[in-house]
Amino acid sequence: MTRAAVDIGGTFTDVVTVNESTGRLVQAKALTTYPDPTAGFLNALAKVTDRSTLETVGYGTTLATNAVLTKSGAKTALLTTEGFRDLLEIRRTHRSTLFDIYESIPEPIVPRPLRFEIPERTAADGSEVKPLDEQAVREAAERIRRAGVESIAVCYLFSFMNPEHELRTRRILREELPELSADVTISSEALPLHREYERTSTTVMNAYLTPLVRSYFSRLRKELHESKLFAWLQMMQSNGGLVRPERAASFPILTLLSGPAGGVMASAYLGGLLGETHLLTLDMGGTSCDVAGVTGGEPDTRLDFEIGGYAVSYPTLDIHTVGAGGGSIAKVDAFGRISVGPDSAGSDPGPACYGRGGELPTVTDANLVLGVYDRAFRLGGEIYPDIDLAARAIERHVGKPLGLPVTEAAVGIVRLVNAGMMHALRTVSIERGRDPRDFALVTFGGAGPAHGMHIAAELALRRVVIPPIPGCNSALGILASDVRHDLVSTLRARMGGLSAAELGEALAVMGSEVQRELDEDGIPAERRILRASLDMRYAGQAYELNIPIAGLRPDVDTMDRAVADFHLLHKTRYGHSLDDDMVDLINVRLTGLGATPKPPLGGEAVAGGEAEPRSRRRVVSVEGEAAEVPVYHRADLVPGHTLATPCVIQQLDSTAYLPFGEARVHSTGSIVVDLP
Amino acid sequence: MTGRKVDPVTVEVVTSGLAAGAREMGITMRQTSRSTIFNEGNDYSCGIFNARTELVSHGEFLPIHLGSLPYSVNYAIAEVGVDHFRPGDSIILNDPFRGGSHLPDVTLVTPIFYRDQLIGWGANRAHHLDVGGTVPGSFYAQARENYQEGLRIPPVKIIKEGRIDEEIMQMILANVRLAENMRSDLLSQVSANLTARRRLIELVDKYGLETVESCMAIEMDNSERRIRSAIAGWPDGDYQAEDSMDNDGITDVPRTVRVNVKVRGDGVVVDFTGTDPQVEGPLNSVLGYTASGVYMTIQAATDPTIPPNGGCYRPVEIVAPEGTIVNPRFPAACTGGNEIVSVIHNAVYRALGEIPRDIPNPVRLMAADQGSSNNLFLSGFGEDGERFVLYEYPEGGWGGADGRDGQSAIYSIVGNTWNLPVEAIEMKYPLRIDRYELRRDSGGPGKWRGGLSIRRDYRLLAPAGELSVLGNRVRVPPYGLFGGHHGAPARYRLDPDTPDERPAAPEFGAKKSMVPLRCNQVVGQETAGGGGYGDPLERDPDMVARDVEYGYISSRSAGEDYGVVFDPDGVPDRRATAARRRHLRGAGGNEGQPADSARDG
Repeated sequence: MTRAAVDIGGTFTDVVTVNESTGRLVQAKALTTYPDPTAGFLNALAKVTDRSTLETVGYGTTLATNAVLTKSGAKTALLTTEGFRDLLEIRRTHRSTLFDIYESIPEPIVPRPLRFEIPERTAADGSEVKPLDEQAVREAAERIRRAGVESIAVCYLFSFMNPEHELRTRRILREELPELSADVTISSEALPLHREYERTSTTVMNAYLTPLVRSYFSRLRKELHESKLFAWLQMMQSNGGLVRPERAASFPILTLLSGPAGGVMASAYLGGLLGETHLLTLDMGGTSCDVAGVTGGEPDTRLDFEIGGYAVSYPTLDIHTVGAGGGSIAKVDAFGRISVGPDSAGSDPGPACYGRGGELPTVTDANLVLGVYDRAFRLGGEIYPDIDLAARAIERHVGKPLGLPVTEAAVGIVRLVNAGMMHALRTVSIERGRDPRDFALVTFGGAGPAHGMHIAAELALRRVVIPPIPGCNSALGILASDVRHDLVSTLRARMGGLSAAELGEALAVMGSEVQRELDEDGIPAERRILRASLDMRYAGQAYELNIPIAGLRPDVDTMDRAVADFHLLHKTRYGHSLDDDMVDLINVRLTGLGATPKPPLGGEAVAGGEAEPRSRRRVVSVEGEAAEVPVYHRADLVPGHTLATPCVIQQLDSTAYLPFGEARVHSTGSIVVDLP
Repeated sequence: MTGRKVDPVTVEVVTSGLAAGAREMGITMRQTSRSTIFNEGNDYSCGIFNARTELVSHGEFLPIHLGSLPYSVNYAIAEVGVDHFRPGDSIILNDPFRGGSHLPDVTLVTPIFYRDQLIGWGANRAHHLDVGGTVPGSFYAQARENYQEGLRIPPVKIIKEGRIDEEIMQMILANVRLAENMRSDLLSQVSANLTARRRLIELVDKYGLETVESCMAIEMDNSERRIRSAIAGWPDGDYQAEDSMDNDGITDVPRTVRVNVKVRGDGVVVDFTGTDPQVEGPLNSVLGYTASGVYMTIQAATDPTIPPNGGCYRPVEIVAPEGTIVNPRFPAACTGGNEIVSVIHNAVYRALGEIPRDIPNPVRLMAADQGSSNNLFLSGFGEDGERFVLYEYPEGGWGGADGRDGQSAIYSIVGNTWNLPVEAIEMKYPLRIDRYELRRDSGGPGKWRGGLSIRRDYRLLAPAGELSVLGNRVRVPPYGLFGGHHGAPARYRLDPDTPDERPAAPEFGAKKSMVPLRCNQVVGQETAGGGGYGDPLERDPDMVARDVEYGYISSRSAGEDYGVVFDPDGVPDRRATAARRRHLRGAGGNEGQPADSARDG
């Protein structure tokens, strides 16, 4: 049987398959198709595999992310408790920069006229203070219909204590607006935790994305069936695990970082094989660049994040994105200031050198003009680039306005795009109090290997790793990821007053729910791993520490050990601990994993000595100096080879440029470069 | 100090590491503290200082704390004696006249040693819910001297070589209303400084003391240079302005801060000569507070990308005559000093607005912000007999600026706290919030409208309780600039929008302590909106139409303040609008004043 992973990027759709019996990996690329990426998905799959042998197809997509960033999600309405329609706009009243009085805050996703106040109220203990005004819900439904709204969010105060009013509201909305019945998100399901702004914002974000992700998935499912492909579909989530797409369609916020998560998981997996536990990852594709950190072998995570300026309270990998990619457009403004990105030429029309009508110069055009990319080599295996078109675009839009020769203008474009990516890497390293010099850089994506070396040198990293199939690294990461469900349930009890039996009961309920999910994912019993943990804090605190517990059947020992572990962690982390009788349990968490066999990489070292270049060509460095350098083909390289630098390494999905350093091929098939 | 050359990457790594350390101090505070004001409101600030007590690094905390924090370190040294610190010591203080700000702000200062050498300081300042005194919450609006306002703590060691001095701790806790919370919140402050110590020592271990000190010096020199270069772009001259507070809570007359910003080359002298004498009531700003108000305005007016640190303060000289509301003599009452900082900020900003704007990098300017911290307390005893004190200091609107409307519902620039979630309040307090919303017509009309402020209604669920307020901007609203109108004044009501409605603090507008409340009674707080920028008759009619559709302004204001006439479909009628605007301009009655002062349409 074969497993496949598909990564739908802004420009290319990548696929990697692994044959479970032989361990053979196969890769391919197709252009991402717009507006419906399904065709690209099928095109890519068709290139590599006999669909009848496919067992699972995992995929990652930036669909949801892009919808937020381009503000192209659904027209969304919000129902709130009367008196609270402005929660979404008031936010948390603080600012992220202290002295920037011109800091701009994005308009709320739901504009004020589409925020409806419903008379109803639940108290802090879950009791009803004011009954739900059902007539008001029906009237709101009528106005929602007339406004052409496509999705609805409902967030009432204290619904996490008692969801009754939200449930009834959803029932009424479904009666009144049957066409929207799949597109009502209620906050007690999306994020059953306190803090009304964060819950409202997260619920609204989910509603904003539901129609898009659901219709995309149903189209995909239909077309896969029409082409007689019946494999299990799995979608990459922001937490680095896979989930079946039906669930992602109801909770698209789970997948906001679906696209970049695969690359981080691949890097962590690769780091394990390389013995590198501290990594920075740089995933530069056609339209954007994603960076993340891996420390102690585990990808960094965070409990909430912001996307496009909107708060989403969901655990995710700690990934930062900047608008820097091969397709990023360079331009010069009226004041003679040059900028690169965040606008991208995407795959249509694409960079000027594609000859598809793109007239604006991009980073890809600059790399072609500098000789980093080969004019006689199909980009992404699809397109022969036209260097004259690239040079003309750079001259016209950057060179002339700045009075620079084409080569110097191209150097400027590359240096600028590098600076933006360096800043993003600083965010996940230096600004977290970490010294980048302790880290190795894993650089991938179609464009990453052409840029990573300079960025690593500027940040004084000690090593650069280029994965075996850099252009398909995210797809490889999807192959290496487990199915994952994270469940959270609010319990709120003083630890001393909570019996092991009560906790066990809560875990049993969650346990059967997670088992049901894994059933639906088709995970056999022997591949399931369940991990329980408790969010605990001292009475009055507002933030918890997460304490893992062993097993799902707690006894007195489990409870005592959890309290002791909590004191210890609090003391270690913060320097003090308080009394036993002040420890509160807030949430119970359960993670259910469906373990996936990891794809094998590379093999034993088979060669020594220097690899043979295929040719030489003239490359201009970022210092503007031209040199004839050897050109290797990746297919010629085997573990054990060393490479002369400076050099260029070409392969189907990516071109690497190594201007300096000691380079060799590792047994995983990765190229490892130690920096001087 | 800059004895050694350090490569730019190391400078950036070390200084970013210190900034990350300062932010991490705040995270420690948020995650370990037990009061809502700490862990939801984030009313605290943290910084790391070098051995010469210069503020090297801080996070995105409260500007009002940050500019005054260096005073606390210097007073700790002056009072304890620099030779009397041992590794593991921490000094506590809140005395406004000895390095503090106002009494509820308790500051913890920790010397950081490296192999027995004093290499720097960690310090943090946090607002405690209660420090004793006449009223719960310790904001006594009619206080006449500092002794009435709560427990005064001079700089003393509360931690001695790693061990809490329980005698001092007990002394403090015996004088406050919420002792149990205060004890753990103080421990959070200790933990935050331990974070600073750990991070600074890690950096010194890795790079060596000399390099770290050089990095600190280089970073501060850079910031100083960048502020100077911005100031050098302003034409030399004396730029004068004033702003006032409503009254001092004892006598109902406005009190005024007068400032002359003297731009000389690449430095400024901010001279408060002529400011009103110190007042009888608690509305006096101690020198540290005043310095904060000045520094934050200069930082906002020049270039917000300059790394904030003590270097930014060097080009600024402050002249604050003793015995005035910007530098009172002991034992002046001064808990409302944070209110004066808003007045200082807005006065200095107005003076900077006098600087000619036809220069390459004009002052980054906006009309007045809400101009108050809107301090409000609800206190009493819950059904369990437990004392409760809720402190609220809600947001308002910012002023309009050239090319942009003022931001709505954002904390005054002097602070940077978070609002308290309704659900967090109701889980902890016998209160229910009936509404929390943007306040229509609160933004000052202007070509660029002032930001909207908020209304928040609290219902008391306990058998009985009290309301205390200490705010401003009921009598003197936030000013507009260049023809923009002022923002809507603040308003405090009991039983709002009912037949029983009445002002909560009629004598002084926003200064009254211990107003009795009965069960189920509602307190309505409305903060002031931001001032407008530019003539509202020049505002794009489509933006006025959008503001009406969104309910940000009433249709009455659209007609009277903005001169926009709509056709029956709600679309601006261009010709009728032009005619009405001509008429309003001709009438000349639309200069700097709103058409109608009762703006609660």
